[in-house]
Amino acid sequence: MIHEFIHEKIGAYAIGALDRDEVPDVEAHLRECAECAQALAGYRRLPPALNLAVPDAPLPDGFSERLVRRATERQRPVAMPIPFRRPPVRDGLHRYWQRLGDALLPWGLAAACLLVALLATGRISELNADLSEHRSYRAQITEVMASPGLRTRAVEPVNSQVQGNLFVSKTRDSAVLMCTGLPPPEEGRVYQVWLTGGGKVASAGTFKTWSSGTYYFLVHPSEGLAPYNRLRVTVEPEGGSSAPSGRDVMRARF
Amino acid sequence: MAAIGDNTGSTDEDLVHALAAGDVSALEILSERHSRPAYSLALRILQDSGWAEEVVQDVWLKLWKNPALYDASRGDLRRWLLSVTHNASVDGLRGRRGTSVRRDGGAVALELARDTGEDPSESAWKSLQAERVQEALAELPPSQRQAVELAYFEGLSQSEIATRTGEPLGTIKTRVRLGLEKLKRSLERVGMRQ
Ligand SMILES: [Zn+2]
Repeated sequence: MIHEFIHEKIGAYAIGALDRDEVPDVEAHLRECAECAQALAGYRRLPPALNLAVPDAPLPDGFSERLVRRATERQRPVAMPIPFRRPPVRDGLHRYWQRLGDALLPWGLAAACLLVALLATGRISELNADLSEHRSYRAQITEVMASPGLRTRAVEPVNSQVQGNLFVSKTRDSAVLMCTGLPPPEEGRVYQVWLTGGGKVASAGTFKTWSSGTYYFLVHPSEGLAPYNRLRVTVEPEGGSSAPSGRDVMRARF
Repeated sequence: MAAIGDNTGSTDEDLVHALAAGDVSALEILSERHSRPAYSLALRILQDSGWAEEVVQDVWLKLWKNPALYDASRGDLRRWLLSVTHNASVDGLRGRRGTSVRRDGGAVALELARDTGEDPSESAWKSLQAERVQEALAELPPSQRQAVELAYFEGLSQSEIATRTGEPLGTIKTRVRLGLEKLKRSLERVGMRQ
């Protein structure tokens, strides 16, 4: 009975067309029913095939040059985006952790690939420094998120649909701002994170979001969090401003 | 950076290694090789050339910054690029519609992460030509084709399609199911023949 009911949904599931509330039952059944799992395996080829079923459009002139320019614009990132496929806010901390783990996991592999490449080409470059910077950024986020007594503060959207949390770690004197639903800033703009308290305003760095709109930002001021009681995020020109000048998109209290 | 401009005969795998080592010319060669179908896909979904370019470039830049996102053992680079481009484009579209949280509607988002393996007919599917898929899609009855396209290229769930088209949900579900079954069967036939 349930099998027939679920079996009919397998195709829609495979192309992502089910409604959100239908998914858990389908996934639970898929774990138990070999026939449905096999049907899914057949439908899994549809998305890659459909990806080809579009009118061919020539690349705009200069596409790859612009890509290379963006890749080599080495804005020393204060923050590195961690690409997540799905915004984790709705799923509670447990699922969130799984996903954070999943996202961090590939780094072992990346390091191995890089090492092989470096050995193969004999090219030991500044990339080493780059990679360790990125790795350490992720490691710091993990450490903050894993620290005991982590407190969670809801992020308040301002003129935006952003959802998120500020995870504050007393023991590490740091915080992680996690937000989702934040569209990429306009051309030439970045998001800038500010810490305020006692009449003082300090920049905690800038970031951009990808089209996923999800971002993890490490707040780790050298002077610690003690002087500050609030955080705000504004839109600023690329490179950041010395004081908030653009529109606010979110704020939170420590 | 060392120049690898003579590398156009290199395999994607070699170029991905070079890219992992920070060789930006590898990125450029890969982009020249594979961006066109990805851009075509993003344009189909987003209907805006500037936005489509940005999304595809963002995908490349993600790979540039984190080469481990692509695992060669799970399939070829172009397939990966198209899959990630599809997800990013649909997410973008939904973001603009104000349904910014992606519907958790199925297997597509994590498709590549879980896509383990090849079955005997897989290699036939790999050589599937774009025109064959387009033909298979064109052979569907228009109402089924529309339902499949709204789901896949506009990121609508079945109930959203029902709302959009004003048709009963049950009708939409049937159209999606029949359309996908038919598409799968006809692609299997084509795949076997090739
Ligand atoms: Zn079943």
